[in-house]
Amino acid sequence: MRRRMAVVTLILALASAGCAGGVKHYQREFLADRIMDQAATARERGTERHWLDTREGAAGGALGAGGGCACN
Amino acid sequence: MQLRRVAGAAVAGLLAVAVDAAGEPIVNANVHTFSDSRKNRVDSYLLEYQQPASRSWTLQLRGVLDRVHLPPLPGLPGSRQNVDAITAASRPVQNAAASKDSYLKQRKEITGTVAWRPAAGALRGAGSYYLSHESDFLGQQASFDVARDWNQGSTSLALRTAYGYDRITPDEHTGGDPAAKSRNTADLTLTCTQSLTPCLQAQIGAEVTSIRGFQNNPYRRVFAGGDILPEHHPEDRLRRAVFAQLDRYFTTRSSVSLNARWYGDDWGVQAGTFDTRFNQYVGERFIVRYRYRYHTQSGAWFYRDLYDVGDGVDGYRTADYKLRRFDSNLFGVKVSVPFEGTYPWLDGMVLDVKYERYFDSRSFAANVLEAGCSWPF
Repeated sequence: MRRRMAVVTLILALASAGCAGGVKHYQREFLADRIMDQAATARERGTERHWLDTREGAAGGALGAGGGCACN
Repeated sequence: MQLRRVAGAAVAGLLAVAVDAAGEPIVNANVHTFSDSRKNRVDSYLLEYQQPASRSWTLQLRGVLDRVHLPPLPGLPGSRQNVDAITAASRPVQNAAASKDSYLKQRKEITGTVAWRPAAGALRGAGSYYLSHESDFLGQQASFDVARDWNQGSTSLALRTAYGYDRITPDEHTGGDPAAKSRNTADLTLTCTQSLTPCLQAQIGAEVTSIRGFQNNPYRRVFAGGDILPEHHPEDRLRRAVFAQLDRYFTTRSSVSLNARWYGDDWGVQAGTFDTRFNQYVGERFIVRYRYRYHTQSGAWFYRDLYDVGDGVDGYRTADYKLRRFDSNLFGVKVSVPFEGTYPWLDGMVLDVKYERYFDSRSFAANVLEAGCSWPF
């Protein structure tokens, strides 16, 4: 399973590498659409981490793990 | 007290700059309920205020109140089931009578952020301070973000660094150690976002976190070698993760987002997470989102379901369900209703309602319900 995950990550990484050709400002209509908002997804993921950190041992990142916190 | 002082200073600062405000403030309010198959419930209330202070500077203030409701414990104090609590939250147990009462714990969190983003310029940055307070826990964190755009904004590189200090002062607990403990967390995250075509964008990133200090649950007990003993975890943990995301827009007014994350740490936990979301406009305004997330992880090298001796494995022992091997699934649906073009006073307002069902291979299940409102005015 881990190998499959690593392959998926590698494919996504390669897909985004070496593509510095750029998209012009006037071509960004779809990328700027509400349903393509990566920042909103990241904010939601931040809130979600709050409870996922209490269930899964692989969350990590911005805040520490475990302890006296009620939500841990 | 410290929380009040920080909140007061932050509000005063925001009011002071609001006089010269160069743009409209934005308010976000959100109510979130989490309930699981063990009858635990966490109600969260979030309020966020964003105030532009000039053309380049923005101030943000975010407050969260969590109310954690825990049911009476099923066993006697000291038994594994009881003190281990089988809950998503830690809970002190003072005596047998107290273990048969419901328990309520509150967590208050406040974050202040100053963000800088000049209208003309590829560089931007932000600094923030976070404070979280409970009866037995105080968490603080300072973080700094810097980002730069290239190729007319098609390529973006962002670096985030954070330092956290947590202080744990356990409440009175049957057989527990009341001595205060602490831990430090240092985090570094690098993210690169690239627009590939007018309909496709990708993001890759890496994250390293180092944690030093007390990382046990102060109330959780382990059944080891015929005794019931406190948890004992290593005091250092190095966590690493890489992630990638691909977002594709379709002319059917829909989009797909694929996200993968690989994680490993020096406690032996390795994990993979795959998250996919499908968004679809329905009619002029409604947006419906379907989501599926899969997570799989291995266990920590010192985790055992039962320990033969009191010393556990090399002196370490744990009853933390997060450190064992398991898989989990999450299905969800979310509906968003933006109010653009209806009434002028509602312009920009967005209502969100979300329901998600989470379950894992260890017979745990949870319902997550969230309702939110975002309103610029």
